[in-house]
Amino acid sequence: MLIIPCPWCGDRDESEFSYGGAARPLPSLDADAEAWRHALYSHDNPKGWREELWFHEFGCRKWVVVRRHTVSQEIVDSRQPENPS
Amino acid sequence: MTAANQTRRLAEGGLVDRTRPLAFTFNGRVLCGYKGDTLASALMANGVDVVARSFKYHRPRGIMTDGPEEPNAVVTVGEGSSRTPNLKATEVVLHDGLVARSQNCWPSVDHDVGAVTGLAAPLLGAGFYYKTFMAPRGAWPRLYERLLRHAAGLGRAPKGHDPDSYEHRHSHCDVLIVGAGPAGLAAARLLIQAGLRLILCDERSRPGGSLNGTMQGIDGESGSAWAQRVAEEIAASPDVSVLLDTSAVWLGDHRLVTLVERRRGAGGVAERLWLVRPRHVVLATGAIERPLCFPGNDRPGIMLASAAAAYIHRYGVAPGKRAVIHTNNDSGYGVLRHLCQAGIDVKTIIDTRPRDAIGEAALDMIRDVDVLAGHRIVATAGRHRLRRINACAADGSRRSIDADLMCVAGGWSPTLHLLGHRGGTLRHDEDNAACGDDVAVAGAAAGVSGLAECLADGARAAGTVLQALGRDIPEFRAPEVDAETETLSGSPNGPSCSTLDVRQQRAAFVDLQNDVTALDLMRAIDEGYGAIEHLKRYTTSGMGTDQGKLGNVMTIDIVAEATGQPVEEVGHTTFRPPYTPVTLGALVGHARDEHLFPTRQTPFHHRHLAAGALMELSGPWHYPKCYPRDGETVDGAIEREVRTVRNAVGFVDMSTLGKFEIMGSDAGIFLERAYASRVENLALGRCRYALMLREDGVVLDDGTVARMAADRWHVTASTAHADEVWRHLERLRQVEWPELDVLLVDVGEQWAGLALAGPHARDVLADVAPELDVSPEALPFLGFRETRFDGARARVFRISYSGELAYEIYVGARHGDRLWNAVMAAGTPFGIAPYGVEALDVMRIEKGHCAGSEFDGRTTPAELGLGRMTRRDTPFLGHALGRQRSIHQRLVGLVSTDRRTPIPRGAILVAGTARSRSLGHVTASVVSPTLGQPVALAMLQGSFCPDDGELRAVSPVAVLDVAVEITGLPFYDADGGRMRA
Repeated sequence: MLIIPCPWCGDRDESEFSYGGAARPLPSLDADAEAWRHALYSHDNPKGWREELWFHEFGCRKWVVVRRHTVSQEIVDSRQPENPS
Repeated sequence: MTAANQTRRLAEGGLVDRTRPLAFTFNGRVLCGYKGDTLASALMANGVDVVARSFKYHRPRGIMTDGPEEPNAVVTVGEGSSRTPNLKATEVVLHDGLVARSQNCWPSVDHDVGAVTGLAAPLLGAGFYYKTFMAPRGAWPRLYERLLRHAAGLGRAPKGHDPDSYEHRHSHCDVLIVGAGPAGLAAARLLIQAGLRLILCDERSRPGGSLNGTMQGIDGESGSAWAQRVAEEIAASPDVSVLLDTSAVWLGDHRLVTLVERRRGAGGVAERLWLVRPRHVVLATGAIERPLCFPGNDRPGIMLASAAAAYIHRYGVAPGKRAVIHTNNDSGYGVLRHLCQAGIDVKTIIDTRPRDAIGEAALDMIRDVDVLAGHRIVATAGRHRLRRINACAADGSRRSIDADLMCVAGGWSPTLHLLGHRGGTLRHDEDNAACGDDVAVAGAAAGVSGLAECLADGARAAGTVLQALGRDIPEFRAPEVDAETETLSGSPNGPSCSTLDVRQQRAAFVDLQNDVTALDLMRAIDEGYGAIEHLKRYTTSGMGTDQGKLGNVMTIDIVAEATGQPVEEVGHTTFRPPYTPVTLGALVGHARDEHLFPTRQTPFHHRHLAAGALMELSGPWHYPKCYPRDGETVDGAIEREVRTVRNAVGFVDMSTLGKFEIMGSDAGIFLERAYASRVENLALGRCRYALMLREDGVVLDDGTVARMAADRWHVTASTAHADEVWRHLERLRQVEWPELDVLLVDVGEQWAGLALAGPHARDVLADVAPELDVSPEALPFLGFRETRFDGARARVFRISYSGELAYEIYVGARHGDRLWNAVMAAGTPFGIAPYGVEALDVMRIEKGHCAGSEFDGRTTPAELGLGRMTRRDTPFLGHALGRQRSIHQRLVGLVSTDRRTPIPRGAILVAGTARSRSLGHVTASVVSPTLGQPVALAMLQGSFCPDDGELRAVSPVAVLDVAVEITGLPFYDADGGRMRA
């Protein structure tokens, strides 16, 4: 069970969060199918650090971006999601 | 039942309380032990040799260890519903009235019919399940599985409601120390001096660990007295908990450590699961002695040397009368003194090493003992207990020795299972640096040997923790170890499994619980299962409830020897939690029965109950299934409720729908992007049915969108998807389109809602909301109005799910009761009645509306016949991929060909015979009271054409096969005239 630092609430237990996958912006709505297919199905599976989305559902109900190490499970920091553009 | 029956209890000694006799029964016999005993020590004291039968060959097995590594003495404790199977007798703390039984034997553990399987051993080798019972295939479920399950049992789970109670406790501390042996106590002492908050846990009832079995002296007192005193001192410090009978079973991510505290017999909760989040962990988990692999190594009377010493000193029990020590290292010689103290006759030590490899200190310890150096054991004899041992020298000369006890000392393996839970591979020479900076390993677990060294190492580990926390390290005053009583340590420098011929391999057990022999391993390696993880799965070595705590090391040695690889390259199998088995009760804790998961009630909950509703759980919601009246069946109630709606008026609780308010200057743009349907052009005071897609074009949910103001919208989500839709919309707002000026508010719990449906719905509404103009002109189909109900704000939507003239009325949740009363009062002249989820479902099927079983995460709007609800001109989420999707299936209506036979729910659709390829499935089915015949909704593959043959709905589960015909949808009121009335 991870401890996830929420930028709004501080360190909280993983059970308060829902997982949202890798943090990468979706293509624009008028992007073609290939761009969408790539965004949805061609995922990296890094062994190491990656940014991912967590929804603090049983807390402040904010989506947050968390940097987690996929092997050691270390989490160094978190931030508010930025404007992808 | 008297203490006198304890024939093997020593006249004095041991740490048990002889003034507190405890009565217990084993296999129906009443026996007596003392407070401080484990079930294993009490059985041993009573001269019970055979405690269990082995898993496969039903061989008699006795007690081999004094801890969680026990492979043999597995028993069922308790009776009836509080029975717990598969407990290790060495872990069960004896209490008054304890009831224990052997497992895996019939009619009794001493006379077991199943032992004849031992004669068939050549057939039951590695992978025998796969090989022997291959054909005929049809015999598997009927014959083989029943046979195997009967023959190979691991206890039976209790059937009734567990009467014991369990609890979970969450805790935090600066440092959690696992293991209250010398290293753990030394570490705790130092950390307390530094003022840290501490939890110290130990799996045994007494602190001290190995000190209780070796009687080494510290600071002028016995080791166990020293440990007891230090533990009391520690427990008396502020902010410290000392938990005994508590196993640390899992070291999880971010240092979440799961502990199981066993309290059975102590009153109150039977077991307590601790979820501890320390800042640092010190693993002072000690080491487990290794057994040796030789033919006949499973006979009762053969035990670990350290266990023999523990039974003598800790429990005051003599594990035998005439003993032989078998070892491959110097530590085995240390047990000699303990055996002699207990008056056990030791004449022989069988050492696998040549004489020149034996240490001087070891040889100094022997007096009047015959050391058979360079010998290996070729056979043992004795039916229910060890009687004779045959040893063989390198030159082939043989010796036969009479003995009823063999103490096996194969060296020590550090107990690093918890560290293994963090992933990665432990190496032979693992150094502490590799554990991460939040976990320190101390003492024998870190490979340190010798009491003084372990004490010092505990202090060292505490020092690293203090350093990491930026605290000063107090001075460590090393306790003085009595050199006279120092035990011998020694790394194995002789072979642990000597080369055996095939006949000997067959009787040399590696995993005693699963009856895996050296021969099984050799065969498996020959068959290509040489990789350690493959070997484990193929032979089941290490897959018992002891998880191979003894056997795995032998397995690794044998693979290393057979394949010529060094031990380091063979590696080990993955250590998975829990370290020792945990009962389901402890894992579940309070979360059972009505506390299984949190449930929700609507504002009308008590009105439902008062109206005689049959309630059921729908997701988290308590929701009425129907409202049976006196003498009415469930089916009768559903049918009556449907007729009431179709012919008069009924009402249903709508409060479970997800309800969101969406506001801001960009709210329209936001909704237009999020929904596939056109919403932005919605006029004020109007609502619309709309579809929401996932990014991949599959339907996520349906709902209604209503416009309350230019910049303010009210949207609904289906009950089942409400949380998911909320997450999805918030993600779009916060992550994907943060530039939009839009705000979402979840108002799901603010509103209590009732839907009025039926030809008289308008009359009832007019009475309930007198301020509202309910005429069709003022409030047309898909109209929306805000009004007042009895002084409170109310929202009225003219939406129909049932297909009848219908309105949804929402008032503040606290006004729900009044709304219910008003609706009932206004509707009584028309014969109004509440209806439940079943009638709701019947009517939506009659109308061909899609719901959760059609929105199953695989269907697109086009497949569901909802293509006209998606926009073609402007893009929306799911648009790009959705429009590229081909149509695999389509929603169709079905009726049974004979118009009488109900269509089985969840049935598979086939053309022609029941064995043909599946062409789709029935998603919803009902016998329509309105149409007087069975109707169903189904997803049918686009490839079906009527020439393929008669369409049949086949349910292999219900063993039903019904001929069906495809019809148009909806089944009822195709032009929608009734809902637009």
